[in-house]
Amino acid sequence: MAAVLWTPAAFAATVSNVNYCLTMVAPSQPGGRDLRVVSEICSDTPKTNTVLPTGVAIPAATQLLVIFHENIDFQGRFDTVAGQEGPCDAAGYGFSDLTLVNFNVGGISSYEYGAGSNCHVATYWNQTGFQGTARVNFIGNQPFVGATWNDDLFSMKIHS
Amino acid sequence: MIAEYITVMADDEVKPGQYRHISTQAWWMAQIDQPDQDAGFYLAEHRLDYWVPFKWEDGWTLRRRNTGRVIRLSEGEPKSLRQDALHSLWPTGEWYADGGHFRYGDETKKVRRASVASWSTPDPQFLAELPLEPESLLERLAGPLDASASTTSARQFENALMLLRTGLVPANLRSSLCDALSRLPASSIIPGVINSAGVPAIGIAHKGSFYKSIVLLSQENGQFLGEQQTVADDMHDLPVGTVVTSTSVCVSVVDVVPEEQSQPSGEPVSV
Repeated sequence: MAAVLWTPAAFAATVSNVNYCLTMVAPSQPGGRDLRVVSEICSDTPKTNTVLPTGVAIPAATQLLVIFHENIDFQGRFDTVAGQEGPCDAAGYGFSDLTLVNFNVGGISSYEYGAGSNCHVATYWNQTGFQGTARVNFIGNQPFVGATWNDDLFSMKIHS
Repeated sequence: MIAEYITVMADDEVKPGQYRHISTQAWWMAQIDQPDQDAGFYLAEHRLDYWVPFKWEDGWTLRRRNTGRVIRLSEGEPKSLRQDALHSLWPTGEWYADGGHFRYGDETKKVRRASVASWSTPDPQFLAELPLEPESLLERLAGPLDASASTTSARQFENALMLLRTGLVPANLRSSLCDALSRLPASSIIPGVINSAGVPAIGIAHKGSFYKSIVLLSQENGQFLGEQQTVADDMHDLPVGTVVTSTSVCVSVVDVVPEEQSQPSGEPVSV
């Protein structure tokens, strides 16, 4: 299937049947660290030697932050979340609503940091808005987010 | 039928200038994984207050704070864990946003709108488009996730719970939701329970693969009164029956958003 550009408004009525997505995020306010989805491109075929969707022109200075996966051990569908605010630092970034990413991959079960992201620590919650049960992972890439958060990882913060 | 246990499914009317106030006292679990240490499990207490105006698109207020009360669930002391680590996990403060589109940066000013309606962040259109017929509603609750029959049931229950947590589900839809939930094969109705604030409630329980979840509803008007989630399988590093989430919710109508008052932190609790 050709690359598809989705808008949030299309979310409710669309059924996910693609395997590779790139979700671009940007601060919800100038200088802010809470990142919101600004665009999504998905495809059922990957760009050569990547997990990014085919047919995607990656803007300059784009940093791949987190790659979310449908299944444990980084398997299944992918959604790569990327931004243009640079790699992680001590303050890091927050994703207060990962509903669309869950939709794209069919429920998040594992994640890994993007190359050069400098992200090492994550906190994630089973509700949007950094609410609900939380897990703090100081150990790096997460091959299984845990039973509590499996398919229910709806907000996340990452930092160096 | 769940309707047999509820006097009348109804909402207090919000008039122009008034707010619907959704107040939640929550105990949420935190799991902390540190290198070369066993995972630590804790329960921490929170208070969340939403004030939703008569016109949905007008300014909402959200106030969040941690009470400071913490219960350690796992055995043994962690080698190192900053005292304030648990409290800093969950954001605290006050936010304002038109239509409830909150942004969790450092800012507390009004913010621009850009969000997607979902089970956890519905808007009037999202709510209005949900079917009221329970079987059709169950189909919508199943969502687009690929799943087995057992996990479909869990997804349906969780999506309904996300919606109920908002405290903004109108009575007619709430009635259909509760009817739908009670039809799930892994669900059961538990009359005569109380929420963590001591309010009498009707429970709808659902046994999932790892957890048992209970939705609590008012016997008087079917309003959401909270939830409880307990460990139902030993694989979780915590004993079966351990409470990992417990909330009490109060939905009311108020005339004003009160000024924030400084609250004393609770004393730490250990078990």
